[in-house]
Amino acid sequence: MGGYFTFSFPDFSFAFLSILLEGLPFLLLGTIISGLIDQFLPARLMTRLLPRNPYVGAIVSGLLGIIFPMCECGVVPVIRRLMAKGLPPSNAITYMLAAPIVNPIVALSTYAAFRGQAPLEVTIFRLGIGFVVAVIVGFAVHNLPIRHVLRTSILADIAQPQGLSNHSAGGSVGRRLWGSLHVCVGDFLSMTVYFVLGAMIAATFNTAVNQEVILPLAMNDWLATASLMGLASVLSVCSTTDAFIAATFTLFPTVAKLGFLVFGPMVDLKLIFIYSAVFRKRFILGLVVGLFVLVGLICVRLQVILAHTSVPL
Amino acid sequence: MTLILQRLVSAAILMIWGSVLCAIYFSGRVTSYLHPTFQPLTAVCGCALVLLAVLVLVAPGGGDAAHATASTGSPWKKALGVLMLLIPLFVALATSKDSFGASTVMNRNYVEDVAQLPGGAPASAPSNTPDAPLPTNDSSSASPANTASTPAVSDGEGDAQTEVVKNKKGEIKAEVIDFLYAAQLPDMRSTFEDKQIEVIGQLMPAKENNPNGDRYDLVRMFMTCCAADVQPIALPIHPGAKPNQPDMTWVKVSGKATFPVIGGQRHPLIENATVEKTDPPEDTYLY
Repeated sequence: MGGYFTFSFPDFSFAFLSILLEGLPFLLLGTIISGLIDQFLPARLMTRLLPRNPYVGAIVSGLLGIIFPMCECGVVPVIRRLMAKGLPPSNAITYMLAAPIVNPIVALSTYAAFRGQAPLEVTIFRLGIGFVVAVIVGFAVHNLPIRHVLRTSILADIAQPQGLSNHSAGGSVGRRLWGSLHVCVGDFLSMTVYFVLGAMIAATFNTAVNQEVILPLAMNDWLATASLMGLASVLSVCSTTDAFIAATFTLFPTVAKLGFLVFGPMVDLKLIFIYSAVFRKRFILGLVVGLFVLVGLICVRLQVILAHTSVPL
Repeated sequence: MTLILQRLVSAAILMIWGSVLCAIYFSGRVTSYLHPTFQPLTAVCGCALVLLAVLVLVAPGGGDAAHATASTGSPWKKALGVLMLLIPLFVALATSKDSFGASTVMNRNYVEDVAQLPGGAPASAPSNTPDAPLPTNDSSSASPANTASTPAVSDGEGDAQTEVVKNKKGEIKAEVIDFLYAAQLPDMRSTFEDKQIEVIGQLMPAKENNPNGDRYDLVRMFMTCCAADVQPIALPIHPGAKPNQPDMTWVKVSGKATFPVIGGQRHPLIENATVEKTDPPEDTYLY
Protein backbone atom coordinates (compact mmCIF):
# COMPACT_ATOMS: atom_id res chain seq x y z
CA MET A 1 0.00 0.00 0.00
CA GLY A 2 1.05 3.53 -0.56
CA GLY A 3 3.68 2.76 -3.20
CA TYR A 4 3.75 4.25 -6.65
CA PHE A 5 3.44 0.86 -8.36
CA THR A 6 1.57 -2.12 -6.90
CA PHE A 7 0.69 -4.82 -9.41
CA SER A 8 -2.13 -7.29 -8.85
CA PHE A 9 -2.68 -9.89 -11.57
CA PRO A 10 -6.40 -10.48 -10.88
CA ASP A 11 -7.00 -6.72 -10.97
CA PHE A 12 -5.01 -6.44 -14.18
CA SER A 13 -7.14 -9.20 -15.73
CA PHE A 14 -10.32 -7.51 -14.56
CA ALA A 15 -9.38 -4.14 -16.08
CA PHE A 16 -8.05 -5.82 -19.24
CA LEU A 17 -11.32 -7.66 -19.83
CA SER A 18 -13.40 -4.57 -19.15
CA ILE A 19 -11.41 -2.55 -21.71
CA LEU A 20 -11.83 -5.37 -24.25
CA LEU A 21 -15.55 -5.70 -23.62
CA GLU A 22 -16.10 -1.99 -23.98
CA GLY A 23 -13.98 -1.49 -27.10
CA LEU A 24 -14.60 -4.67 -29.08
CA PRO A 25 -18.12 -3.82 -30.34
CA PHE A 26 -16.83 -0.54 -31.73
CA LEU A 27 -13.83 -2.23 -33.32
CA LEU A 28 -16.16 -4.75 -34.95
CA LEU A 29 -18.40 -1.96 -36.20
CA GLY A 30 -15.38 -0.23 -37.71
CA THR A 31 -14.24 -3.36 -39.50
CA ILE A 32 -17.77 -4.05 -40.83
CA ILE A 33 -17.82 -0.54 -42.28
CA SER A 34 -14.32 -1.16 -43.57
CA GLY A 35 -15.50 -4.28 -45.41
CA LEU A 36 -18.46 -2.47 -46.93
CA ILE A 37 -16.25 0.42 -48.05
CA ASP A 38 -13.89 -2.04 -49.68
CA GLN A 39 -16.57 -3.72 -51.71
CA PHE A 40 -19.11 -0.99 -52.39
CA LEU A 41 -17.14 2.26 -52.59
CA PRO A 42 -15.88 2.64 -56.13
CA ALA A 43 -12.14 3.07 -56.38
CA ARG A 44 -10.95 6.67 -56.49
CA LEU A 45 -14.44 7.97 -55.64
CA MET A 46 -13.07 9.66 -52.56
CA THR A 47 -10.48 11.55 -54.56
CA ARG A 48 -13.17 12.71 -56.96
CA LEU A 49 -15.48 13.84 -54.17
CA LEU A 50 -12.94 15.68 -52.07
CA PRO A 51 -11.51 19.03 -53.19
CA ARG A 52 -8.43 18.63 -55.35
CA ASN A 53 -6.47 21.16 -53.34
CA PRO A 54 -4.80 18.96 -50.70
CA TYR A 55 -5.10 21.60 -48.00
CA VAL A 56 -8.80 22.20 -48.61
CA GLY A 57 -9.17 18.42 -48.83
CA ALA A 58 -7.62 18.05 -45.39
CA ILE A 59 -9.97 20.67 -43.97
CA VAL A 60 -13.01 18.90 -45.43
CA SER A 61 -11.69 15.54 -44.18
CA GLY A 62 -11.51 17.00 -40.69
CA LEU A 63 -15.26 17.60 -40.84
CA LEU A 64 -16.26 14.21 -42.26
CA GLY A 65 -16.78 12.88 -38.74
CA ILE A 66 -19.93 14.97 -38.52
CA ILE A 67 -21.44 12.82 -41.28
CA PHE A 68 -19.48 9.60 -40.66
CA PRO A 69 -18.83 9.49 -36.91
CA MET A 70 -16.33 6.85 -35.80
CA CYS A 71 -14.63 6.13 -32.49
CA GLU A 72 -10.87 5.83 -32.38
CA CYS A 73 -10.91 2.01 -32.24
CA GLY A 74 -12.98 1.66 -35.38
CA VAL A 75 -11.55 4.45 -37.48
CA VAL A 76 -8.16 2.88 -38.23
CA PRO A 77 -9.45 -0.04 -40.32
CA VAL A 78 -11.74 2.41 -42.10
CA ILE A 79 -8.94 4.79 -43.12
CA ARG A 80 -6.76 1.86 -44.13
CA ARG A 81 -9.51 0.87 -46.53
CA LEU A 82 -10.15 4.44 -47.66
CA MET A 83 -6.47 4.91 -48.49
CA ALA A 84 -6.61 1.74 -50.55
CA LYS A 85 -9.54 3.36 -52.34
CA GLY A 86 -7.46 6.36 -53.26
CA LEU A 87 -7.94 8.74 -50.34
CA PRO A 88 -4.64 10.62 -49.87
CA PRO A 89 -2.89 9.71 -46.60
CA SER A 90 -2.97 13.35 -45.48
CA ASN A 91 -6.76 13.39 -45.76
CA ALA A 92 -7.08 9.92 -44.25
CA ILE A 93 -4.97 10.86 -41.23
CA THR A 94 -6.90 14.10 -40.77
CA TYR A 95 -10.13 12.11 -40.74
CA MET A 96 -8.60 9.49 -38.45
CA LEU A 97 -7.59 12.10 -35.86
CA ALA A 98 -10.67 14.31 -36.14
CA ALA A 99 -13.53 11.83 -36.50
CA PRO A 100 -13.35 10.47 -32.92
CA ILE A 101 -13.68 14.07 -31.64
CA VAL A 102 -15.50 16.11 -34.25
CA ASN A 103 -18.74 14.18 -34.30
CA PRO A 104 -22.20 14.70 -32.86
CA ILE A 105 -22.05 11.83 -30.37
CA VAL A 106 -18.91 13.17 -28.73
CA ALA A 107 -20.35 16.68 -28.72
CA LEU A 108 -23.42 15.47 -26.86
CA SER A 109 -21.50 13.34 -24.37
CA THR A 110 -19.04 16.15 -23.65
CA TYR A 111 -21.85 18.61 -23.11
CA ALA A 112 -23.62 16.17 -20.78
CA ALA A 113 -20.50 15.28 -18.83
CA PHE A 114 -19.50 18.89 -18.18
CA ARG A 115 -22.89 20.12 -17.08
CA GLY A 116 -22.21 22.59 -14.34
CA GLN A 117 -18.69 23.19 -15.67
CA ALA A 118 -19.21 25.51 -18.67
CA PRO A 119 -20.41 22.65 -20.91
CA LEU A 120 -20.97 24.67 -24.07
CA GLU A 121 -17.54 26.27 -23.97
CA VAL A 122 -15.78 22.99 -23.20
CA THR A 123 -17.64 21.22 -26.02
CA ILE A 124 -16.89 23.95 -28.55
CA PHE A 125 -13.23 24.13 -27.59
CA ARG A 126 -12.87 20.35 -27.60
CA LEU A 127 -14.26 19.99 -31.11
CA GLY A 128 -12.49 23.12 -32.32
CA ILE A 129 -9.06 22.17 -31.02
CA GLY A 130 -9.51 18.60 -32.23
CA PHE A 131 -10.35 19.83 -35.70
CA VAL A 132 -7.49 22.34 -35.85
CA VAL A 133 -4.91 19.84 -34.61
CA ALA A 134 -6.09 17.15 -37.04
CA VAL A 135 -5.92 19.55 -39.98
CA ILE A 136 -2.45 20.78 -38.99
CA VAL A 137 -1.25 17.17 -38.85
CA GLY A 138 -2.90 16.55 -42.22
CA PHE A 139 -1.01 19.49 -43.71
CA ALA A 140 2.24 18.17 -42.26
CA VAL A 141 1.62 14.66 -43.58
CA HIS A 142 0.92 16.06 -47.04
CA ASN A 143 4.48 17.34 -47.12
CA LEU A 144 5.96 14.00 -46.10
CA PRO A 145 6.98 11.27 -48.54
CA ILE A 146 4.31 8.58 -48.32
CA ARG A 147 6.95 5.88 -47.81
CA HIS A 148 7.86 7.58 -44.53
CA VAL A 149 4.26 7.37 -43.35
CA LEU A 150 2.81 4.00 -44.32
CA ARG A 151 4.01 0.48 -43.75
CA THR A 152 5.43 -1.25 -46.77
CA SER A 153 2.52 -3.72 -46.91
CA ILE A 154 -0.02 -0.89 -46.91
CA LEU A 155 1.95 0.93 -49.62
CA ALA A 156 1.83 -2.22 -51.74
CA ASP A 157 -1.93 -2.44 -51.23
CA ILE A 158 -2.40 1.18 -52.26
CA ALA A 159 -0.29 0.60 -55.33
CA GLN A 160 -2.88 -1.93 -56.52
CA PRO A 161 -5.45 -0.10 -58.62
CA GLN A 162 -8.41 -1.81 -56.87
CA GLY A 163 -7.17 -1.51 -53.34
CA LEU A 164 -6.61 -4.27 -50.83
CA SER A 165 -8.85 -6.90 -52.30
CA ASN A 166 -8.76 -8.12 -55.80
CA HIS A 167 -12.35 -7.81 -56.90
CA SER A 168 -13.57 -4.92 -54.82
CA ALA A 169 -16.47 -2.78 -55.98
CA GLY A 170 -17.27 -5.19 -58.77
CA GLY A 171 -19.65 -8.09 -59.40
CA SER A 172 -23.10 -8.75 -58.01
CA VAL A 173 -24.30 -7.40 -54.68
CA GLY A 174 -24.21 -10.89 -53.18
CA ARG A 175 -20.66 -11.43 -54.30
CA ARG A 176 -19.66 -8.07 -52.86
CA LEU A 177 -21.33 -8.88 -49.54
CA TRP A 178 -19.31 -12.09 -49.30
CA GLY A 179 -16.25 -10.06 -50.15
CA SER A 180 -17.14 -7.59 -47.41
CA LEU A 181 -17.34 -10.46 -44.97
CA HIS A 182 -13.85 -11.66 -45.80
CA VAL A 183 -12.39 -8.19 -45.57
CA CYS A 184 -14.21 -7.47 -42.31
CA VAL A 185 -12.96 -10.68 -40.72
CA GLY A 186 -9.41 -10.09 -41.89
CA ASP A 187 -9.37 -6.54 -40.58
CA PHE A 188 -11.03 -7.50 -37.32
CA LEU A 189 -8.52 -10.21 -36.53
CA SER A 190 -5.48 -8.16 -37.43
CA MET A 191 -6.72 -5.09 -35.53
CA THR A 192 -7.74 -7.11 -32.49
CA VAL A 193 -4.18 -8.35 -32.04
CA TYR A 194 -3.05 -4.75 -31.59
CA PHE A 195 -6.08 -3.92 -29.48
CA VAL A 196 -5.26 -6.78 -27.11
CA LEU A 197 -1.68 -5.56 -26.76
CA GLY A 198 -2.80 -2.01 -26.08
CA ALA A 199 -5.45 -3.11 -23.60
CA MET A 200 -2.84 -5.12 -21.69
CA ILE A 201 -0.58 -2.11 -21.29
CA ALA A 202 -3.49 0.20 -20.48
CA ALA A 203 -4.75 -2.25 -17.85
CA THR A 204 -1.31 -2.44 -16.26
CA PHE A 205 -1.07 1.33 -15.83
CA ASN A 206 -4.75 1.57 -14.98
CA THR A 207 -4.47 -0.74 -11.99
CA ALA A 208 -0.85 -0.63 -10.85
CA VAL A 209 0.10 3.05 -10.93
CA ASN A 210 -0.94 5.19 -7.99
CA GLN A 211 -2.98 8.05 -9.46
CA GLU A 212 -2.10 10.29 -6.54
CA VAL A 213 1.32 10.64 -8.11
CA ILE A 214 -0.13 13.04 -10.65
CA LEU A 215 -2.21 15.14 -8.26
CA PRO A 216 0.56 17.55 -7.22
CA LEU A 217 0.94 18.40 -10.90
CA ALA A 218 -2.50 20.02 -10.93
CA MET A 219 -1.16 23.26 -9.52
CA ASN A 220 0.76 24.23 -12.65
CA ASP A 221 -0.95 24.72 -16.03
CA TRP A 222 1.89 23.19 -18.02
CA LEU A 223 2.33 20.19 -15.76
CA ALA A 224 -1.41 19.76 -15.28
CA THR A 225 -2.03 19.70 -19.03
CA ALA A 226 0.87 17.38 -19.72
CA SER A 227 -0.06 15.01 -16.92
CA LEU A 228 -3.72 14.76 -17.93
CA MET A 229 -2.70 14.17 -21.54
CA GLY A 230 -0.44 11.38 -20.31
CA LEU A 231 -3.24 10.01 -18.18
CA ALA A 232 -5.62 10.03 -21.15
CA SER A 233 -3.15 7.87 -23.04
CA VAL A 234 -2.88 5.47 -20.15
CA LEU A 235 -6.59 5.15 -19.44
CA SER A 236 -7.44 4.58 -23.13
CA VAL A 237 -11.11 5.40 -22.65
CA CYS A 238 -13.35 5.66 -25.74
CA SER A 239 -13.88 9.21 -26.98
CA THR A 240 -17.63 8.87 -26.68
CA THR A 241 -17.33 8.52 -22.92
CA ASP A 242 -14.00 9.99 -21.86
CA ALA A 243 -15.59 13.35 -21.03
CA PHE A 244 -17.24 11.72 -18.03
CA ILE A 245 -13.79 10.85 -16.72
CA ALA A 246 -12.25 14.22 -17.53
CA ALA A 247 -15.05 16.08 -15.78
CA THR A 248 -14.09 14.42 -12.51
CA PHE A 249 -10.62 15.99 -12.35
CA THR A 250 -11.95 18.95 -10.45
CA LEU A 251 -8.54 19.94 -9.10
CA PHE A 252 -7.21 20.47 -12.61
CA PRO A 253 -7.72 23.58 -14.74
CA THR A 254 -10.19 23.25 -17.61
CA VAL A 255 -7.47 23.63 -20.23
CA ALA A 256 -5.78 20.54 -18.80
CA LYS A 257 -9.07 18.67 -19.18
CA LEU A 258 -9.25 19.89 -22.76
CA GLY A 259 -5.79 18.42 -23.29
CA PHE A 260 -7.14 15.13 -21.94
CA LEU A 261 -10.19 15.30 -24.21
CA VAL A 262 -8.29 16.14 -27.38
CA PHE A 263 -5.10 14.13 -26.95
CA GLY A 264 -6.71 10.94 -25.58
CA PRO A 265 -8.77 10.06 -28.67
CA MET A 266 -5.75 10.73 -30.89
CA VAL A 267 -3.07 8.92 -28.92
CA ASP A 268 -3.59 6.25 -26.31
CA LEU A 269 -1.73 3.09 -25.50
CA LYS A 270 -4.05 0.74 -27.36
CA LEU A 271 -4.22 3.13 -30.32
CA ILE A 272 -0.45 3.21 -30.67
CA PHE A 273 -0.56 -0.52 -31.26
CA ILE A 274 -3.53 -0.25 -33.61
CA TYR A 275 -1.69 2.47 -35.57
CA SER A 276 1.18 0.02 -35.93
CA ALA A 277 -0.98 -2.02 -38.29
CA VAL A 278 -0.93 0.84 -40.81
CA PHE A 279 1.88 3.30 -40.13
CA ARG A 280 5.63 3.08 -39.85
CA LYS A 281 7.03 3.05 -36.32
CA ARG A 282 9.04 6.22 -36.84
CA PHE A 283 5.99 8.05 -38.13
CA ILE A 284 3.95 6.92 -35.11
CA LEU A 285 6.68 8.19 -32.79
CA GLY A 286 6.72 11.54 -34.58
CA LEU A 287 2.93 11.67 -34.55
CA VAL A 288 2.76 11.00 -30.81
CA VAL A 289 5.42 13.56 -29.93
CA GLY A 290 4.04 16.13 -32.37
CA LEU A 291 0.48 15.76 -31.10
CA PHE A 292 1.63 15.95 -27.50
CA VAL A 293 3.48 19.21 -28.12
CA LEU A 294 0.80 20.70 -30.37
CA VAL A 295 -2.20 19.90 -28.17
CA GLY A 296 -0.29 20.91 -25.04
CA LEU A 297 0.79 24.25 -26.50
CA ILE A 298 -2.68 25.08 -27.79
CA CYS A 299 -4.35 24.24 -24.49
CA VAL A 300 -1.91 26.17 -22.32
CA ARG A 301 -1.94 29.18 -24.64
CA LEU A 302 -5.73 29.04 -24.59
CA GLN A 303 -5.61 29.55 -20.85
CA VAL A 304 -3.52 32.69 -21.31
CA ILE A 305 -5.78 34.03 -24.06
CA LEU A 306 -9.01 33.31 -22.22
CA ALA A 307 -7.71 34.97 -19.07
CA HIS A 308 -8.32 38.29 -20.87
CA THR A 309 -11.86 37.40 -21.94
CA SER A 310 -15.15 36.65 -20.25
CA VAL A 311 -15.25 33.04 -21.46
CA PRO A 312 -15.91 30.98 -18.31
CA LEU A 313 -13.14 28.38 -18.53
CA MET B 1 -0.76 -21.91 -43.90
CA THR B 2 -3.19 -22.95 -46.62
CA LEU B 3 -6.27 -20.87 -47.32
CA ILE B 4 -8.54 -23.61 -45.96
CA LEU B 5 -6.56 -23.89 -42.77
CA GLN B 6 -6.48 -20.12 -42.44
CA ARG B 7 -10.23 -19.96 -42.89
CA LEU B 8 -10.70 -22.61 -40.22
CA VAL B 9 -8.41 -20.78 -37.82
CA SER B 10 -10.19 -17.48 -38.45
CA ALA B 11 -13.58 -19.08 -37.87
CA ALA B 12 -12.34 -20.78 -34.70
CA ILE B 13 -10.99 -17.52 -33.26
CA LEU B 14 -14.19 -15.68 -34.09
CA MET B 15 -16.26 -18.48 -32.59
CA ILE B 16 -14.17 -18.46 -29.40
CA TRP B 17 -14.36 -14.69 -28.96
CA GLY B 18 -18.06 -14.65 -29.79
CA SER B 19 -18.79 -17.49 -27.38
CA VAL B 20 -16.77 -15.81 -24.62
CA LEU B 21 -18.64 -12.54 -25.07
CA CYS B 22 -22.01 -14.32 -25.11
CA ALA B 23 -21.06 -16.36 -22.04
CA ILE B 24 -19.98 -13.23 -20.18
CA TYR B 25 -23.24 -11.52 -21.05
CA PHE B 26 -25.69 -14.36 -20.49
CA SER B 27 -23.98 -15.54 -17.28
CA GLY B 28 -24.42 -12.07 -15.85
CA ARG B 29 -20.67 -11.52 -15.41
CA VAL B 30 -20.99 -8.54 -17.69
CA THR B 31 -22.56 -6.53 -14.87
CA SER B 32 -19.19 -6.52 -13.13
CA TYR B 33 -17.41 -5.17 -16.18
CA LEU B 34 -19.62 -2.65 -17.95
CA HIS B 35 -22.07 0.15 -17.32
CA PRO B 36 -25.63 -1.03 -18.08
CA THR B 37 -25.63 1.15 -21.21
CA PHE B 38 -22.80 -0.88 -22.75
CA GLN B 39 -23.86 -4.33 -21.58
CA PRO B 40 -26.20 -5.16 -24.48
CA LEU B 41 -23.40 -4.37 -26.92
CA THR B 42 -21.47 -7.33 -25.51
CA ALA B 43 -24.28 -9.70 -26.46
CA VAL B 44 -24.72 -8.08 -29.86
CA CYS B 45 -20.98 -8.24 -30.57
CA GLY B 46 -20.74 -11.83 -29.31
CA CYS B 47 -23.63 -13.00 -31.49
CA ALA B 48 -22.24 -11.10 -34.46
CA LEU B 49 -18.84 -12.79 -34.04
CA VAL B 50 -20.45 -16.24 -33.84
CA LEU B 51 -22.43 -15.44 -36.97
CA LEU B 52 -19.30 -14.23 -38.74
CA ALA B 53 -17.54 -17.46 -37.78
CA VAL B 54 -20.29 -19.52 -39.36
CA LEU B 55 -20.38 -17.31 -42.45
CA VAL B 56 -16.62 -17.55 -42.87
CA LEU B 57 -16.94 -21.33 -42.99
CA VAL B 58 -19.77 -21.39 -45.52
CA ALA B 59 -18.75 -18.38 -47.61
CA PRO B 60 -17.71 -18.93 -51.19
CA GLY B 61 -14.23 -17.81 -52.16
CA GLY B 62 -11.91 -16.80 -49.40
CA GLY B 63 -8.87 -15.71 -51.22
CA ASP B 64 -9.59 -12.11 -50.36
CA ALA B 65 -10.05 -12.92 -46.71
CA ALA B 66 -6.78 -14.68 -46.67
CA HIS B 67 -5.21 -11.74 -48.39
CA ALA B 68 -6.66 -9.23 -45.98
CA THR B 69 -5.91 -11.30 -42.91
CA ALA B 70 -2.32 -12.09 -43.50
CA SER B 71 -1.06 -11.01 -46.84
CA THR B 72 2.31 -10.41 -45.31
CA GLY B 73 4.30 -11.95 -42.54
CA SER B 74 5.96 -15.24 -41.91
CA PRO B 75 4.12 -18.32 -40.57
CA TRP B 76 5.55 -17.80 -37.10
CA LYS B 77 4.22 -14.25 -37.07
CA LYS B 78 0.79 -15.54 -38.00
CA ALA B 79 1.04 -18.16 -35.25
CA LEU B 80 2.10 -15.45 -32.81
CA GLY B 81 -0.93 -13.41 -33.82
CA VAL B 82 -3.23 -16.36 -33.14
CA LEU B 83 -1.63 -16.87 -29.73
CA MET B 84 -2.01 -13.16 -28.95
CA LEU B 85 -5.70 -13.42 -29.77
CA LEU B 86 -6.30 -16.39 -27.49
CA ILE B 87 -3.83 -16.67 -24.59
CA PRO B 88 -4.37 -13.25 -22.95
CA LEU B 89 -8.13 -13.75 -23.22
CA PHE B 90 -8.07 -17.17 -21.57
CA VAL B 91 -5.61 -16.12 -18.87
CA ALA B 92 -7.67 -13.03 -18.05
CA LEU B 93 -10.89 -15.05 -17.92
CA ALA B 94 -9.28 -17.55 -15.58
CA THR B 95 -7.66 -15.06 -13.23
CA SER B 96 -10.10 -12.16 -13.08
CA LYS B 97 -12.08 -12.04 -9.85
CA ASP B 98 -14.70 -9.76 -11.41
CA SER B 99 -13.85 -7.02 -8.93
CA PHE B 100 -10.86 -4.95 -7.90
CA GLY B 101 -8.74 -5.77 -4.88
CA ALA B 102 -7.52 -3.35 -2.25
CA SER B 103 -4.27 -2.37 -3.98
CA THR B 104 -5.99 -1.05 -7.11
CA VAL B 105 -8.62 0.78 -5.07
CA MET B 106 -5.86 2.42 -3.04
CA ASN B 107 -4.22 3.48 -6.30
CA ARG B 108 -7.35 5.40 -7.32
CA ASN B 109 -8.21 8.86 -6.09
CA TYR B 110 -11.02 8.61 -3.58
CA VAL B 111 -14.06 10.75 -4.29
CA GLU B 112 -14.95 12.50 -1.03
CA ASP B 113 -16.70 15.49 -2.57
CA VAL B 114 -19.75 14.90 -4.73
CA ALA B 115 -18.66 17.66 -7.11
CA GLN B 116 -15.90 15.29 -8.25
CA LEU B 117 -18.47 12.92 -9.75
CA PRO B 118 -19.64 13.22 -13.36
CA GLY B 119 -22.50 15.70 -13.23
CA GLY B 120 -22.25 15.53 -9.49
CA ALA B 121 -22.26 19.21 -8.58
CA PRO B 122 -25.37 19.51 -6.44
CA ALA B 123 -28.18 21.92 -7.10
CA SER B 124 -27.87 25.14 -5.17
CA ALA B 125 -29.51 25.24 -1.82
CA PRO B 126 -32.58 27.42 -1.42
CA SER B 127 -31.68 30.99 -0.56
CA ASN B 128 -33.50 30.92 2.76
CA THR B 129 -31.55 28.01 4.12
CA PRO B 130 -29.30 28.79 7.06
CA ASP B 131 -26.13 27.51 5.40
CA ALA B 132 -24.65 29.17 2.36
CA PRO B 133 -23.98 26.71 -0.46
CA LEU B 134 -20.54 25.22 -0.22
CA PRO B 135 -18.12 25.79 -3.10
CA THR B 136 -18.72 23.81 -6.26
CA ASN B 137 -17.58 24.33 -9.82
CA ASP B 138 -20.91 25.74 -10.78
CA SER B 139 -23.78 25.01 -8.53
CA SER B 140 -26.42 26.43 -10.81
CA SER B 141 -27.28 23.74 -13.26
CA ALA B 142 -26.59 20.24 -12.11
CA SER B 143 -28.70 18.01 -9.98
CA PRO B 144 -27.89 14.88 -8.05
CA ALA B 145 -30.87 13.30 -9.72
CA ASN B 146 -28.80 13.23 -12.89
CA THR B 147 -26.88 10.28 -11.58
CA ALA B 148 -28.51 6.90 -11.51
CA SER B 149 -27.88 6.64 -7.81
CA THR B 150 -30.35 9.20 -6.65
CA PRO B 151 -30.16 10.07 -3.00
CA ALA B 152 -32.69 8.26 -0.88
CA VAL B 153 -34.03 11.53 0.42
CA SER B 154 -35.30 14.61 -1.31
CA ASP B 155 -33.43 17.87 -0.99
CA GLY B 156 -36.57 19.95 -1.42
CA GLU B 157 -38.22 21.81 1.41
CA GLY B 158 -41.14 20.17 3.12
CA ASP B 159 -40.72 16.70 1.70
CA ALA B 160 -37.37 15.78 3.12
CA GLN B 161 -38.85 13.02 5.25
CA THR B 162 -41.10 11.48 2.63
CA GLU B 163 -38.55 9.12 1.06
CA VAL B 164 -36.63 8.13 4.18
CA VAL B 165 -36.38 4.38 4.63
CA LYS B 166 -35.63 2.99 8.08
CA ASN B 167 -34.53 -0.44 9.29
CA LYS B 168 -36.07 -2.38 12.17
CA LYS B 169 -33.91 -0.49 14.67
CA GLY B 170 -35.22 2.81 13.37
CA GLU B 171 -31.94 3.70 11.66
CA ILE B 172 -32.15 5.57 8.37
CA LYS B 173 -30.97 3.35 5.51
CA ALA B 174 -28.94 5.22 2.94
CA GLU B 175 -26.21 4.85 0.33
CA VAL B 176 -22.63 6.09 0.69
CA ILE B 177 -23.22 8.66 -2.02
CA ASP B 178 -26.19 10.16 -0.16
CA PHE B 179 -23.89 11.47 2.57
CA LEU B 180 -21.65 13.19 0.03
CA TYR B 181 -24.68 15.00 -1.34
CA ALA B 182 -25.93 15.75 2.16
CA ALA B 183 -22.61 17.41 3.01
CA GLN B 184 -23.41 20.08 0.44
CA LEU B 185 -27.19 20.31 0.63
CA PRO B 186 -28.40 21.74 3.97
CA ASP B 187 -31.97 20.45 3.63
CA MET B 188 -30.78 16.97 2.89
CA ARG B 189 -28.14 17.19 5.61
CA SER B 190 -30.79 17.93 8.22
CA THR B 191 -32.38 14.58 7.40
CA PHE B 192 -29.23 12.72 8.45
CA GLU B 193 -27.35 14.97 10.85
CA ASP B 194 -26.96 13.54 14.37
CA LYS B 195 -29.30 10.68 13.51
CA GLN B 196 -28.60 6.95 13.53
CA ILE B 197 -28.03 5.61 10.05
CA GLU B 198 -27.26 2.31 8.33
CA VAL B 199 -25.11 2.13 5.22
CA ILE B 200 -23.44 -0.67 3.25
CA GLY B 201 -20.05 -0.54 1.56
CA GLN B 202 -16.56 -2.01 1.41
CA LEU B 203 -14.16 -1.41 4.27
CA MET B 204 -10.85 0.31 3.56
CA PRO B 205 -8.27 2.15 5.66
CA ALA B 206 -8.81 5.93 5.62
CA LYS B 207 -6.46 7.78 3.28
CA GLU B 208 -6.99 11.31 4.63
CA ASN B 209 -8.13 13.17 7.74
CA ASN B 210 -7.04 10.33 9.95
CA PRO B 211 -4.73 11.90 12.56
CA ASN B 212 -5.13 9.12 15.14
CA GLY B 213 -5.27 6.26 12.68
CA ASP B 214 -8.65 5.15 14.01
CA ARG B 215 -10.80 6.07 11.03
CA TYR B 216 -11.78 3.95 8.05
CA ASP B 217 -13.46 4.57 4.76
CA LEU B 218 -16.63 2.89 3.62
CA VAL B 219 -16.15 2.65 -0.13
CA ARG B 220 -18.53 2.15 -3.05
CA MET B 221 -17.39 2.05 -6.66
CA PHE B 222 -18.83 4.60 -9.09
CA MET B 223 -18.74 3.39 -12.70
CA THR B 224 -18.85 5.73 -15.68
CA CYS B 225 -18.35 3.30 -18.58
CA CYS B 226 -16.47 0.18 -17.58
CA ALA B 227 -14.63 -1.30 -14.62
CA ALA B 228 -11.37 0.26 -15.77
CA ASP B 229 -12.71 3.73 -14.96
CA VAL B 230 -14.41 3.07 -11.61
CA GLN B 231 -13.81 5.63 -8.88
CA PRO B 232 -14.07 4.77 -5.21
CA ILE B 233 -16.58 6.96 -3.36
CA ALA B 234 -15.46 7.11 0.25
CA LEU B 235 -17.50 7.77 3.38
CA PRO B 236 -15.25 8.21 6.45
CA ILE B 237 -16.33 6.22 9.50
CA HIS B 238 -15.08 6.33 13.08
CA PRO B 239 -15.73 2.95 14.68
CA GLY B 240 -15.84 2.47 18.42
CA ALA B 241 -13.62 -0.59 18.05
CA LYS B 242 -11.18 -1.59 15.35
CA PRO B 243 -12.98 -3.76 12.77
CA ASN B 244 -11.57 -7.25 12.28
CA GLN B 245 -12.56 -7.55 8.62
CA PRO B 246 -9.88 -7.43 5.94
CA ASP B 247 -9.78 -4.62 3.35
CA MET B 248 -12.59 -4.57 0.76
CA THR B 249 -14.90 -6.72 2.89
CA TRP B 250 -18.55 -5.86 2.39
CA VAL B 251 -19.81 -4.47 5.70
CA LYS B 252 -22.91 -2.91 7.17
CA VAL B 253 -22.15 0.17 9.23
CA SER B 254 -24.49 1.66 11.83
CA GLY B 255 -23.69 4.92 13.56
CA LYS B 256 -24.39 8.61 13.99
CA ALA B 257 -24.12 10.79 10.90
CA THR B 258 -22.14 13.96 11.44
CA PHE B 259 -20.89 16.62 9.05
CA PRO B 260 -17.85 18.35 10.57
CA VAL B 261 -16.14 21.24 8.78
CA ILE B 262 -12.64 20.23 7.73
CA GLY B 263 -10.48 22.64 5.78
CA GLY B 264 -13.41 25.01 5.27
CA GLN B 265 -15.64 22.31 3.76
CA ARG B 266 -18.24 20.07 5.26
CA HIS B 267 -17.42 16.39 5.11
CA PRO B 268 -19.56 13.46 6.21
CA LEU B 269 -18.33 11.29 9.07
CA ILE B 270 -20.11 8.37 10.73
CA GLU B 271 -19.31 8.45 14.45
CA ASN B 272 -19.54 5.57 16.94
CA ALA B 273 -19.87 3.22 14.02
CA THR B 274 -20.47 -0.48 14.52
CA VAL B 275 -19.19 -2.59 11.68
CA GLU B 276 -20.48 -6.04 10.78
CA LYS B 277 -19.83 -8.22 7.77
CA THR B 278 -22.67 -8.46 5.26
CA ASP B 279 -23.47 -9.78 1.80
CA PRO B 280 -22.73 -7.58 -1.20
CA PRO B 281 -25.73 -5.69 -2.57
CA GLU B 282 -27.39 -6.93 -5.74
CA ASP B 283 -25.65 -4.25 -7.78
CA THR B 284 -22.19 -3.60 -6.40
CA TYR B 285 -21.66 -0.41 -8.40
CA LEU B 286 -23.11 3.05 -8.23
CA TYR B 287 -23.74 4.77 -11.55
